[in-house]
Amino acid sequence: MFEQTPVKTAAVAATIAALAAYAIFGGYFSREIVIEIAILAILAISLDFVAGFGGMISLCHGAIFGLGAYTFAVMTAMWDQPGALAALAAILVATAFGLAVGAVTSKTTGIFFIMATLAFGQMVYVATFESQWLGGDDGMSGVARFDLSPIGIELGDSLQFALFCLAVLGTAYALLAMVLRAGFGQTLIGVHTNEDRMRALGLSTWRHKAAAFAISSAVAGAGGVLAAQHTQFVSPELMVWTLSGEVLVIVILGGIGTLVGPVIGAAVLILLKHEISTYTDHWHMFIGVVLIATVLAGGRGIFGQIEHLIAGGGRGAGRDA
Amino acid sequence: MPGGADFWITQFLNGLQFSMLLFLLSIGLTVIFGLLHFVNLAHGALYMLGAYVGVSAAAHLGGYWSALVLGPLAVMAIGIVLYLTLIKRMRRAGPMNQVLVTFGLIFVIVDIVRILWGDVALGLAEPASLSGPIQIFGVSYPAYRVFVTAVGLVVMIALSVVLNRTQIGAMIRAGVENDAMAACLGINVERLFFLVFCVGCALAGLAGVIAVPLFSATPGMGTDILIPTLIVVVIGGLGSLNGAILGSLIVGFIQTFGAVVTPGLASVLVYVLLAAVLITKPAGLLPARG
Amino acid sequence: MLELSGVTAGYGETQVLHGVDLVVREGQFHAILGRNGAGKTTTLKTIMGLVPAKGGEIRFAGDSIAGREPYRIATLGIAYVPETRDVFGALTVEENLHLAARIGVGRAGGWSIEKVLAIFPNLAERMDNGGNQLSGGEQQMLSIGRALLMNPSLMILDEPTEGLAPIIVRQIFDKLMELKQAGLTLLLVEQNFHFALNLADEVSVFGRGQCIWTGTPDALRMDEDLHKRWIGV
Repeated sequence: MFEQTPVKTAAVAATIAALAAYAIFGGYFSREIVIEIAILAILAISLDFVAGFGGMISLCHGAIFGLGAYTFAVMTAMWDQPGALAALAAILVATAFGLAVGAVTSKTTGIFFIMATLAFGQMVYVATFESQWLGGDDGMSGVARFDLSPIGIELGDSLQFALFCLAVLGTAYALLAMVLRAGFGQTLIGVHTNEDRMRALGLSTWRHKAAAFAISSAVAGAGGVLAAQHTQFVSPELMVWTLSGEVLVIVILGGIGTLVGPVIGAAVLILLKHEISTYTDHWHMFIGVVLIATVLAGGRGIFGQIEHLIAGGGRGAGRDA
Repeated sequence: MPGGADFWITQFLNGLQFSMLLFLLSIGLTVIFGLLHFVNLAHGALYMLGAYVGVSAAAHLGGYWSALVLGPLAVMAIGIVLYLTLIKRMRRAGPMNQVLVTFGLIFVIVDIVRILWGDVALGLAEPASLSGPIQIFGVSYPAYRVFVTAVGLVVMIALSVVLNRTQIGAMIRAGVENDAMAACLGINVERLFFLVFCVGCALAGLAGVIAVPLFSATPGMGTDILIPTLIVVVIGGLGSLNGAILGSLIVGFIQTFGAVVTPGLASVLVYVLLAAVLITKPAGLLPARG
Repeated sequence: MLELSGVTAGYGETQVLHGVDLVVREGQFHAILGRNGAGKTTTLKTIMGLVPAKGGEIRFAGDSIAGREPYRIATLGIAYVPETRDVFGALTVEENLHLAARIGVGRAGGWSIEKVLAIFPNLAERMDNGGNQLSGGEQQMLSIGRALLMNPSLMILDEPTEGLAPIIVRQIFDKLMELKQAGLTLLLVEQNFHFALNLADEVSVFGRGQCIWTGTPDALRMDEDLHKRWIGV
């Protein structure tokens, strides 16, 4: 069951509002941080959609995100297409890839699923890395941001771009929450909880999982479009599997299977990263310790723990994927 | 197009040598995986620790041979600490939590290595007795690479004898196939796992030490080798010695020959192969559970 | 020899055993009957420690064994022949037997591989075959043979006749009768009513995760109401 509880609405609204305030009242660097958080949060909720609700721990979401970014970059920087068309194409490519990966992998479970997604993600990464046409290791620059000047928005300005990214995050969250509350989401959760039972009810569970993976990929692709516009540059770094791993850390830290948790997780982790990086360049050690501690503490994550406390600590064992 | 029989013989030997390195890493991972369904993503990080401990041992103690002894022992000791503090606890926590915790360990271990040894690549000279080339199949080939291949083959044969011909080997195979029933025959599967885990760590350390003269020690080496090792394990079939052998040969040769025949496509080939195996034979080519 | 009192257990959230009381005396052949889902198999798994007991007491030869690991319980002298036989397919028949003999060596009971092969001659011809190449009947014999080699003081069997041809069932019956006459303590779960009643000294009837009734086979044969309600023959 997914419910958009008042606590969730309040949490997501408060996080986005706080980030907006930080962007408005902070300087250039805080705006850059907010953009980074918003983009990673979009990727993180797309991963939580399949991992937390469908039990599909994907290690190729970074690659899907990168596919969106590269498609957008090729369309705008190489082929001079308008931004809206490029974004549409990027989301379509990401969705199609997600559908294909989902269709092929959704019959596998557990570690095999993880490995299969890893394989497909790395395939995209290596192919991109080796492709001269896409600039290989160096990537591609010259990506343009959306031109929203007709409606008075100047995305070249870092504050306006930050607010725009937050708006996209809010929209993506609302969309995914809507899908989860609808019959599609209920069925997905049902498949995760008891696949045999859903199959006995006559459902083609793998098709349903593949469709969920495609929806999630569409959102991840949209995140990629923003990432390409943010730095106006794309490189294979966007697709490497450790990025998928880091996004998984965000999901776990925030609270897997809560949808709002990953938004909080992205904010907390990125802020900490910038804070800690001023003292030491061993930021990854910190991430590792946080990840291990979160799992050992029961794996509920920040928001999961909040919900758990609100619910009086009564239910707990239910959420181990 | 490079040509000539000499060239291809050299490539064949390179493929064999890389396969043996992959074998040393994947055998520990696959048996740990098969015996207690434990996913240890930090296996590559242990390999890296073996390499660095080896470099230090060689520099401060007695050169290459002391590295070859101390590297595996140190990694085994680190493995024991990890086992007692983390892994034992995670045994029944499900693959996702295991992936997460051992993924976290990678981050921690990589940074510890960077703190202790720095970010630069460190080398280790092969022993003088193995430094020159030798004649093999009519080509001149580095003796050290032949040594690496030989170490892999010796370990392979030793493990094969232990697993297939001894009581403890039968216990391990029984535990991999059905741990509950093995326990009902009075086998302490937990202790067996610990033993296998120690051997797996030592082999990862061994692979790390013998790899340094070939590739140098870098903080990225563990993560770089992890993916091909996991691919070997999944292609071969979890928990199976024969699967690890076959998988290592396939991946080792595809990477080596691919790099010569179709540079650029070579690395993609391995992933295509993995995807194909996962789709057609999800349990791998030679799974332990018939 | 074996005593369960108020044992509760289950899988995850689902509770299957709701306070099982059961006593198996030394040298006794004790049979458990009951419908599917009555908790018979779960009771055996709980005795072996494969399913953790959530509450109650399990005593074996004076020791409390609830909460111990399966391998310790096996080492104390309980041998288990599961419903699914669980022969190791990747091991040869010989290896299967040797593994079991490992802890049986030097114990009272006197079972050796030669003696097991003498009562199950079919196995003797298949020593080098993999466990996965055996027929269902042969697997059952191997599973029983393996249990005997542990030289247990209590042997528990879960539906040993399930899915086997009548002639094999007959053979198994004879072997169990021999074991009973040799004085081995046995606990048998069965759906095959006549098979169980012709072997057992004492019978327990299970229903809804509890032991409903215990008595002699003759008393059970005469109690038609008990049949209708809990066994349904």
